[in-house]
This record gives sequence, C-alpha cells and structure tokens, in this order.
Amino acid sequence: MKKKIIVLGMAFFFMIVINAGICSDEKSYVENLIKEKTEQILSIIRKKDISQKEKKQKIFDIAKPLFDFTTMSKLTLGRKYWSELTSEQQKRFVDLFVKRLRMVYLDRVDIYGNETVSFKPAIQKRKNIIYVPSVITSKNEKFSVIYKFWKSPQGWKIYDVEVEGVSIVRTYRSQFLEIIKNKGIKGLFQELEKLTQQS
Amino acid sequence: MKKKRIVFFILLLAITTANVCAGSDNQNNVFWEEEIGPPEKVIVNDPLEPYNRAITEFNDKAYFYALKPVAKGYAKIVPETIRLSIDRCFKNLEFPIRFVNNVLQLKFKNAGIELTRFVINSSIGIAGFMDPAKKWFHLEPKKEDFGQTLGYYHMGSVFHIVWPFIGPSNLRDTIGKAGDIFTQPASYLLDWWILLAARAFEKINYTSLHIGEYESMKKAAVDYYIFIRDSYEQMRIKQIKE
Repeated sequence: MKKKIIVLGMAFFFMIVINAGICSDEKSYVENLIKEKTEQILSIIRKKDISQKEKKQKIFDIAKPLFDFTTMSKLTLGRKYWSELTSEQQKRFVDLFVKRLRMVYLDRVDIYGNETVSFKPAIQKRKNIIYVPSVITSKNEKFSVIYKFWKSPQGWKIYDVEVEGVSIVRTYRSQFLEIIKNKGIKGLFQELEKLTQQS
Repeated sequence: MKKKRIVFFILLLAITTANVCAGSDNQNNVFWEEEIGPPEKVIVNDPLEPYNRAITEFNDKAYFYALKPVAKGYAKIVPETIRLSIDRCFKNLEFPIRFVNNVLQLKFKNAGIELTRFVINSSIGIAGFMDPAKKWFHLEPKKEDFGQTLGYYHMGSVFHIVWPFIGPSNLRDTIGKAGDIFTQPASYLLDWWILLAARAFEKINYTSLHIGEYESMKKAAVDYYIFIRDSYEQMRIKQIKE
C-alpha cells in the first residue's frame, strides 16, 4: 500500500514537471513564431525585383494573422466606450482601425530597409501574456521593440507593440479619447472615415 | 489491470495539465483594463495645451519650410557616411552629460563604460568620428541626462511643455536640459553664438539622417499633437526606468 502511494506521488510529481515543460514551451513557441515571421518580412523588404505595392501586400498577408485586431481595438477604445457601441459599430470600428494601421505602418517600408533585428528571450508576464523584446539596429541607432502576445481563443496573438517604451495602443487611446471628449463617439467615426479615405 | 493503469495516467495528465496551464480563459475579459489602465485616467498633465498646440504648429511649419529643405540640400552635398560620422562626433562630445548622470544615478558600471568609450573613441576613433568602442569592444553608449536623473529620484514630469525649435518637453526635462548645459565644458569655453551655430548644425545634420520619420509619424496620428505629446512622455518614462 505504502509503495503504491509513493509510486502515485512520484507519478503526480513527474506529470507536473512534464506539464510545466509544456507550458514553458509556449514561450519558445511565441518567440519562434515572431522570429520566423520577422525573417519572412525582412526578406521581402530586401527584395529588389518586386514593386513597393506588392511588397506591402505580401507583408500585410504575413503580419495579419499575427495580430488580434479586435482586442487591439477594444484596448484602444477602453471598456467604457467599447461596451457602448452596438456590435455592428464595433465591427466598423475594428475595420477602420485596421485600415488606419495598415496605411500608416506599411508606409514605413519606404523608409526602412537596412535594419537588422535581434530577439531577446521571451518574458512570461502572466499565464496568458508573453512579451517578446527585440532590438532593431539602424545606421547609428538602436531601438527596442516589444511584441506583446496574449493567448486568445485563436491562439497566441499580438495585442500591442511597444517601440522605445511607446505603446501603439496607448498613444491611439489618448488620441481617440481626446476626440471623443470634444466631438463624441460619432465624431471619432467621422474622423476615422475621413482619414482612411485619403490616399 | 494494465488498461486501468493507462487510463489512470491519462486522467492524471489531464488534471495536472488543467492545473498548470489553467487561468487563460477566465482572464480574457479582465486582462485588458489592467494592462493599459482605465480609460478615464489621464497620463499627461497638460494645463498649457492651447499654447503647446500653437508651438507644435509652429515647429511643424519650421520643419517643413526651413529645417527639411536645408537638411535635404545639405544631404545632397555631403555623403551619408560623413554625416553619420559627424553625428557620432556630436554624440561623443556629449560624454560629460552621460558620465555625470550615470554617476548621479549610482550607475557606476555604466559610467565606467561611458568613460572607456570616450577615451577609445576620442583617440583611436579620431575625435569621435568613428565608434571603435562599439565596433571592436562592443561597448554600447549608456544614455543618461539630468532630466532622467531627476526622474530617477522620483520627480514627475509636473506638466508638459513644448519649446519652439526644440520640441516636446516637460518641466522636469526643461530643468534637466538647463542642468546638462553646466556639465558641458564647451558652454564655458565658447561664445554663445558659436554654441548656437553648433547646435543648429547638429540639428541639420541629424535631420538629414532622419528625413521621412517625422512625416510618417505625423501621418500615423489622428491628432498629431496628442500623438507627439504622449509618445514623448511614454518614451521618457521608459528611459528613466532603465
């Protein structure tokens, strides 16, 4: 009987060890995921035989599945305003926000090109949140970029990116709140419609 | 009997897995408010907003109508490698600021690295035009200024303020900038107009290496004053933490 209990205890212990291993594997999984996608994107940026427009489309196709745009939108708007929207409005907002991000950040492809990226070990912030810090080196400068992942029902996705301590979600949030304060939520929609129609 | 044991093990695995990896589902709704802070919370104290907006507008015009065309013309005459060297040289001259403030923040190892960098780059690096300290010895610069030192000792930004030509700042960093002048030997040795001309040249040289960045940042913004203001304050908070 005693023997059985010891065996059982040991089995239990090993199971936990094995499982902890599985969980910490998530860290390296996320790390490898962003590494691999970054490599793909960099190789596209460095390609010389395709047009800028084609490049941007290809990069977007690679980057899109990495992001959780709905959560990003929720975070930027904040729970209070997000829950005030109808589900249709929420969808529209995510749409406009993605369009905006796409326009803005893909345009940087024109400026950058000779940068190198190196990744640091991922940090488990919480059970469902993993940060992957990286350093981008360009010409004379270095800047830090942190990809913030969370375990969404669809798997690990980015919900925010921090460049030199500046969070995309946070800067958009304060801009959106400023507009809501002055022109209301309708004004924000109008502003976004206007901005996404340009160019 | 054997079958029973296998079933038992699988069950055990399932239970422990649930235990160790649990917690992700019920936190779905909670995590985001904690992560970014409640929407009502204002990060930046900005009582001077109307003035700050006007100066930001002025700086924007100054960039597009003066600084950018000059920097572009300059970039056409001077090759990039030389401009990068000049940029390094200016940074090397700011060594006293970094050294003093590393010491003030009790970061003695970083102060040592800065001192070593200065000695190597001023000699082998030919007055700082090259950066052999980084290239050969892998010594990275440890940027600290007096504004960061004040932040290190828990001074807040107090309020945001935008300066003509210089750009976004706050009360803490303005005091910091003034303090930094005192740690620069050049401020005691040279006439004010030479210093001013040197600063202008530094700015033109720097801008020539960063054309397009301000434009893309402005384009990224919905309200570019808020965008610049918040980016600045967030960036400084990070620099102080480091």
